[in-house]
Amino acid sequence: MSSLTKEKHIPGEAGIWIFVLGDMFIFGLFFVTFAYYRSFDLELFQSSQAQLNQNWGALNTVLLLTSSWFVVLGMSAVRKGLRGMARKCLSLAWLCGLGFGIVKIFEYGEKIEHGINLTTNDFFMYYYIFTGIHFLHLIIGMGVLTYMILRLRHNKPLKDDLALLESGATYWHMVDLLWIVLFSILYLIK
Amino acid sequence: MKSIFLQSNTAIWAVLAMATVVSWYLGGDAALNIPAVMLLIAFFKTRLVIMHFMELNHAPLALRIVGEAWGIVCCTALIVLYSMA
Repeated sequence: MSSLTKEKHIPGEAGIWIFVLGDMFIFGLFFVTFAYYRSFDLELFQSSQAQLNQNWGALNTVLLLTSSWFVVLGMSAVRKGLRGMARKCLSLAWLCGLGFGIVKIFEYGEKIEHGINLTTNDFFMYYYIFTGIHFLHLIIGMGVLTYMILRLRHNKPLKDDLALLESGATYWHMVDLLWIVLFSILYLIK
Repeated sequence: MKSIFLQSNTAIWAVLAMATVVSWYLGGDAALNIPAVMLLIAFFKTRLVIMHFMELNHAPLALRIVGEAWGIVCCTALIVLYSMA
């Protein structure tokens, strides 16, 4: 299914796409649900949103985008047979993911310290559920990246592992992709 | 090593980072924070990730269509719902 060239092909295993597209569909429903209920109580959603720190959200967006970029560079290195470089790029991607996690935990802590939790109001219920589910995806993604890095330590021909590595990369990009929309609707759009 | 960094996806990353800064700036300004514009920027970014980072621009047409449809449907639904609020 995969080849070392960039000809038309499904990146990764076909199965990962069923999972990724399914997840994207579910998050699509999350986004629409949020926007729908927001229209019933705009004032509450706007005043609650004002309590979020847009700077943390923006920093996390840049961290995930950069992480995704490192994964892209890592996959280019894999295709060129540069095992060491691929490992370095994926390790940098992992570190950016860790940075995202640290910022998010700090942000959750800040909110909880101010008495803002899941039951505060509808906005924060969506905030905690959506960002929480996304956080779970991030943790799984970091596990996937770890597996990819470890896999690159073996001397197995890279060609044999390409579909597996592409599947991991696809999953990680999805984590980035979903955050882009979450950042916009939860933090930015008034 | 240079050839790894010097690729079109590095430019895509720069555009994504710049679009994030632009939307972050617009988001902080009440007059410029227009939902439809902000959503278009967000889904422009997701499209770049889907087509270039996830490599759907090199994928078979059916998969590419599904990727495009996700962005179009989500973005349209959100623009409609935000304009109703």
